[in-house]
Amino acid sequence: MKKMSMKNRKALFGYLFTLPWLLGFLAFTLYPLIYSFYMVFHKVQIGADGISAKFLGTGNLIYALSLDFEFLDAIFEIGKYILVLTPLIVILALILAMLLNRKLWFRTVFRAIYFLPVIIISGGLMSSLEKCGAFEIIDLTENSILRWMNYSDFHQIYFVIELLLKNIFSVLWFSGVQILIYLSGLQKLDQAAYEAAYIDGASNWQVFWKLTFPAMKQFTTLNIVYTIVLLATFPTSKVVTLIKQSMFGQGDFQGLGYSSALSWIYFIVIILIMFLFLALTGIGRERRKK
Amino acid sequence: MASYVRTKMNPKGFHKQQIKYYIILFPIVLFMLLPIVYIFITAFKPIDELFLFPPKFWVKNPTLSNFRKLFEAGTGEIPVSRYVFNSILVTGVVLFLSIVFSSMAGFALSKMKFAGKKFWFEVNQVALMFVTASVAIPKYLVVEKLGLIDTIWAHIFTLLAMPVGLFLVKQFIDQIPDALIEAAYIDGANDFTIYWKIVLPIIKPALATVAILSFQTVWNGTETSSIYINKEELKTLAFYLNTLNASTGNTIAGQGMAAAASLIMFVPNIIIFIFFQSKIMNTVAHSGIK
Repeated sequence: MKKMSMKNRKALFGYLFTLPWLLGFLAFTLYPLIYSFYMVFHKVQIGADGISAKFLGTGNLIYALSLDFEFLDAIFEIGKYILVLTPLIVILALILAMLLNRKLWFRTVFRAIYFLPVIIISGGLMSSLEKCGAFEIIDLTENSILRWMNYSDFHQIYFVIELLLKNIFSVLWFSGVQILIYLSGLQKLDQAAYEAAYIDGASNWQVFWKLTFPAMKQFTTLNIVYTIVLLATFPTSKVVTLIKQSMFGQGDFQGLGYSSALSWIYFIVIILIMFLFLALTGIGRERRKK
Repeated sequence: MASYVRTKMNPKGFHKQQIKYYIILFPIVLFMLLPIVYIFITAFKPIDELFLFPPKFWVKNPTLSNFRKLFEAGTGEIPVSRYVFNSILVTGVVLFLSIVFSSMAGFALSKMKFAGKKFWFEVNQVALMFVTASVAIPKYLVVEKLGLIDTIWAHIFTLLAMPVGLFLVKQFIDQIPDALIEAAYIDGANDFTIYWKIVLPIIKPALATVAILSFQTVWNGTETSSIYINKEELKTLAFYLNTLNASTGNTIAGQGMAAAASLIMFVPNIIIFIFFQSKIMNTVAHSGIK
């Protein structure tokens, strides 16, 4: 056998380690994804003799973007939802992670409870909870100040507050993994730097902005990505329901091809939102450097 | 390095200074626990209390009749234990393999050098954002071509390559300093030794998170059973409980059964969580990363 160069040997091991995952990924994630992209431009029907695809060009896309108002409404709604909730969830996660990193009695119990929702927000359970009305236990929107805001000039602010109050469970429940990511980041911070800062007379506020926050930058990016993905692909979200519905529909603009078109449009919207957030955090970073 | 201090960070007792943190943490904890308590309470509510208006949080006359009805409804040809067995088998295998695969791939993509590693991670990240429901049919085609329809493997293979899992694990491995890995190479360790002796112990918290997330998908998932499996004896518990809810529809008796079913689905989640949470919460501090 020919002796391999160091570089090739390393590459081989790299592939070897990646291989099991890669096979599964290619077969059950990437190939279906590409296939669904193919279906975007076709009218796909499932008949007795298998699947037939008729070429449509951009018909599916144009119809979805110009005439499918139900879908467009749902997209706008979830877009707003993600834009408002993502910063809230990430900020809340950072605050809670910092609190949970304090020296507290029963700290591990607290941490466990804050992570607990991660195990319940899986789709099936969440929808059955919704059916039971577990989220309407406390209705905070029936409040006279808020009602006044709704009918006055503060309607825009009311919208944000209402969204927040209605989704207060979601904000807390969706923050489990993010808290954990921040916690693991906070624990890696160098305590000596903090001591030095305090000795130099820095206040808690200064220490947060000059030490903790910059150090958490990487984790913030990670959390933003994770949060958007979590919110966007959540099975009970309205867009996902619409996509599922149109999958087996029989009408003109229904069926697999159309549902693929919807998912690709949705996918691109999500990507754009993500770039928006990443760009925003990126700009903040540049400014601080100056 | 003040790590010896940090591992004993939990104070032995309660101190006045901590009160300010508890004031913030405690109400939120209660808030997060409410829906979980609600699942438990609802399962034991008799029918007349389930439909009380306005709904009451607490149960007045707890009863087991919901559970009795749930199991009486299931006296078909296949005993409930068969579904339980399927679920446990599938969940166990997927849990184990997905941890192995995503940690191996994460290690290779993060620390090894080979062509295309960046590309594969980006593809994975993109795949994260795609609505999984919309690729169900292309996935079915793959499963069919591989001849996995109506086998237990259809449950397992389709869920193995978990994009979220790889994403989290890879981000965690990125935190391991290269110097640590290089030192091991210099000391004569090969790739497998490094993976086994260095990487795995450090990323235990990430793996525990992946385990919990993957448990969620598998244990609560009904998709594989409804799409790839026609034989009743190979379907999973989640699917069975789901059909019970669906077939009883919105009947009054169905509500009680649905509540009992969600409790039954939920309890293993809690058990797994308690089992893994200590690892998640504590190993971060011992990982030796600075």
